[in-house]
Amino acid sequence: MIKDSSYKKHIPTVILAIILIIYPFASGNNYHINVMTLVGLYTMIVVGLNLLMGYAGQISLGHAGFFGIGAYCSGLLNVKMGLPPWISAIIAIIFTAGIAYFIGIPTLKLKGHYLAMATLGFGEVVHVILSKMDWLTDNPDGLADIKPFGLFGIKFDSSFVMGQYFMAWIIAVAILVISMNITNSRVGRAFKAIHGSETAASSMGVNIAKYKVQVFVLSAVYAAVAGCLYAHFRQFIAPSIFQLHTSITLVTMVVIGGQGNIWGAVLGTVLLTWLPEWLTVAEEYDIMFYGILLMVVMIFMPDGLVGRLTTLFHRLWSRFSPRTQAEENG
Amino acid sequence: MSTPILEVDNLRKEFGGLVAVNDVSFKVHPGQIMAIIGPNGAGKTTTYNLITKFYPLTSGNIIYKQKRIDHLPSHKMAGLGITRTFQSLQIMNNMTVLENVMVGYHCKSKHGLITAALRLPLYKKEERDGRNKAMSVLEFVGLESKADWPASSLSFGEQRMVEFARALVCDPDLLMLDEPASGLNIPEMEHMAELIYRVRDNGVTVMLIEHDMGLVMNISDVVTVLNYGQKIAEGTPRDIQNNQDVITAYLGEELDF
Repeated sequence: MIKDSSYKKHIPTVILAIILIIYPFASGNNYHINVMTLVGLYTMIVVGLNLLMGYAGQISLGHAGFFGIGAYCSGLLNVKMGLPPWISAIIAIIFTAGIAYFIGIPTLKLKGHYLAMATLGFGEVVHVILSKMDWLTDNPDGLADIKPFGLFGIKFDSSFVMGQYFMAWIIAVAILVISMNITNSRVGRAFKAIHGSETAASSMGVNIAKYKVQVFVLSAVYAAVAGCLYAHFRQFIAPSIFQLHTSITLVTMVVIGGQGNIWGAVLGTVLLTWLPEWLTVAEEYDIMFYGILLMVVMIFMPDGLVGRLTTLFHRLWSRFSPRTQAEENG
Repeated sequence: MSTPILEVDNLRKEFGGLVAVNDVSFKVHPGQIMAIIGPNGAGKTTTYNLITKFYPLTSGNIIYKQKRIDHLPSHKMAGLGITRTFQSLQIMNNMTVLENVMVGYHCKSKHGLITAALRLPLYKKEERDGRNKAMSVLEFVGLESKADWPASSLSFGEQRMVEFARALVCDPDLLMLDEPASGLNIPEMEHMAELIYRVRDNGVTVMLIEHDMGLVMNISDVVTVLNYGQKIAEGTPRDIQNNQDVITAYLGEELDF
């Protein structure tokens, strides 16, 4: 009957992959490539947050917390226990998933503002704990001397800019593809159904509590993956990045790119990482700028940039395509 | 007579001091269309919400296919073969028509997060089956041409049909319709009545809450009347039309049988 348009849906992924492969060679600027590596890491978190917010309709203002738990856990296991980075990263991801599970069960019973406040509180608790960790890190500023990832004897340290870039983006694209598969499945539809109507979802057999926790844990796992990569790329982590400011930036990325659209996550992340670079807004004012941007987007394009662009595209398409016009006229 | 598919025994629901459903008992036999009628606030939808576990019972038993189900959560009902629609439409506006209906296939499929993420064979099979099943049900209700439309762009009557289709897609044994005809125009209502008949003829037991007496009296086999949370009458449409208690309960309302 209906075949899910088999090759068409891969086109955006292929285009993204081509751009990502060309970019570092075309740019040739190590600073810019490093910024794009960071975009890759944020993309992972924002994709997960988009599943949580845009698809399942649950908010989190504490995802920098999971980012931080992943980073610190992997870093500490590596520095303090001497575990190889790959092993410490895997343990850190599992540990973060466990925390998300236990946090998720009670907090996801809350709705709307209450859920926002609870997750915000969680993020701040994590930030405070990380800030008071100098007894463990032996360094008042943060955790230093984290070992870089190694693969076949190659070290992915900060001098290997290309290596970090490609490692980050291969994982980010894998997460994108996995997430798109999920959204086009029974599970993804359950997420969306919870957003659309919990009553209807439940009457159709969707276990609401289970799927809410599932999407929450999944998004936390994505954040933990980004955290581990961040820790072993930078080889030094400080608590200041794992706080509310970052959580809000992540939410802004989701909203501006477009909730309920995986590609929105990519666009939102790229845009919000580069905008401050282009505008050279003074550091303290960027959160104000995000606030204004968030307001403008919410008022004028609640579906975000990708949503808006899709609508525009469809409108143009129907105007210029005679076939569609004929269909519309009868 | 055959064993009832659903047996409600002394169902009771109190909201604080208010008794919304007062020890109501009834039986639904397989293959029947059973209507629940009553004035506004009689406890009809509350009865539905108790059977489908949206509210916890104050007391009473619900026996479905000779098993007690009153301790089960609401999301287990679809898997048992009990689905429902809603008086106030519960359409997922963030999804297409087809996706809405495919949510109804949730309890028929099993694949989870990891199977979906990796597109394992089970995922592909269930997606294909679910899609085909959903399309055939959409065809049944006459909405196959709008499968890929956003559900929010449909008319009210079409959205009622989407809900109806969504409740049918997992092949229920007991279909509970809550005012399926409210807000429909006459041709839509006739279409709905015909579909309900066809569903019944396929062996599905149908429960129906409805205010439109013409529809109720036309299509029901058994009618149960509630008033102020109590059952005041039960019988064939003809019995009910002549029942003095029922006429009194509806006093002031024009009875248009």
